[in-house]
Amino acid sequence: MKVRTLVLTGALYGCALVTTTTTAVASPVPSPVDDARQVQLLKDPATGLDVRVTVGGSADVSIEVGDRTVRIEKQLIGRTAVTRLITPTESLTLAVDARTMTVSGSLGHAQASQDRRGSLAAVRHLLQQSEAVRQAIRLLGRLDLGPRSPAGHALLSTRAMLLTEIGDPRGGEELGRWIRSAQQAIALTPVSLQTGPGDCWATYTKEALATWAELEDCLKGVKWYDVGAEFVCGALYDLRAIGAFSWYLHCVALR
Amino acid sequence: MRAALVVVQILITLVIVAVTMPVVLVFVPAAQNPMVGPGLALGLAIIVFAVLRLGWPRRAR
Repeated sequence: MKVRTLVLTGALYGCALVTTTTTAVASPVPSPVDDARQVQLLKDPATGLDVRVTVGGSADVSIEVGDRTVRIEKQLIGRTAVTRLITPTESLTLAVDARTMTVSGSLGHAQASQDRRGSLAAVRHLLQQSEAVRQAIRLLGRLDLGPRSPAGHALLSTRAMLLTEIGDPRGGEELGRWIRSAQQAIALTPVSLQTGPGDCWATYTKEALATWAELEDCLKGVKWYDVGAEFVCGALYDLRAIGAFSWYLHCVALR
Repeated sequence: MRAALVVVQILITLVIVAVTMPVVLVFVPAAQNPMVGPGLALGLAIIVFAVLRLGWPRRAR
């Protein structure tokens, strides 16, 4: 009996262990990426592709775009800018921070740093060999989110960086053109904290009531025969009331 | 001449409404509601304008 109990216990323990392991493999602990919150979904007018901007999760900010040939993820993680390129046959991650540039993926691993001279050549060689980089450059060149889009600027900067790293000078020129078009397109637009015409009426009401209160204060203690004081109080009231109502008409755009 | 007269009457209407509205707001607190007040002001303006149009002295022909 005891032996049977021991065997059963062992079997149950084994089942539990296997179940736990299987569960852990099948549905791992939610990665930080799951916490990412989408803040913007843009449709690129030139290609019709969706550009997704998320915050939180594993990256502070993440911009994703892709088509059938390549998927591009641009992430800002702390002080590191990470670019992930995924094609059906290749994956490549390029991480750049203030001191180092690291490339890793299916083609291999290389790291360049300011301390090691000549290390940049290995990184560039890897990038030049990568088909994913070429596909990404091609796709990013087709996008046109316009000069007002921060996501568009980030993706254009990514293209410029990739072009520069493979020794193509077009990236810098394109970025210069984008800056010039942005300077022409971006203009100051007056904005107001007002939320609707109801605010105009609320503000006008306050001023109108204050005008009436001022008239009452002004007329306090004025004798009935003091025509001059009454005239002055009335004139002040009229001016303030007309001014308030003019402001209201201006506020609701009856100009 | 007729158009100028209408403009003058509109201006007088606006002045009368402007001067009257604070009194209305004090004695009819419901008018402080943005859903009510502007409509009340407009109604007042229409009435004043109509009175002005009808009561304006005409030249004898």
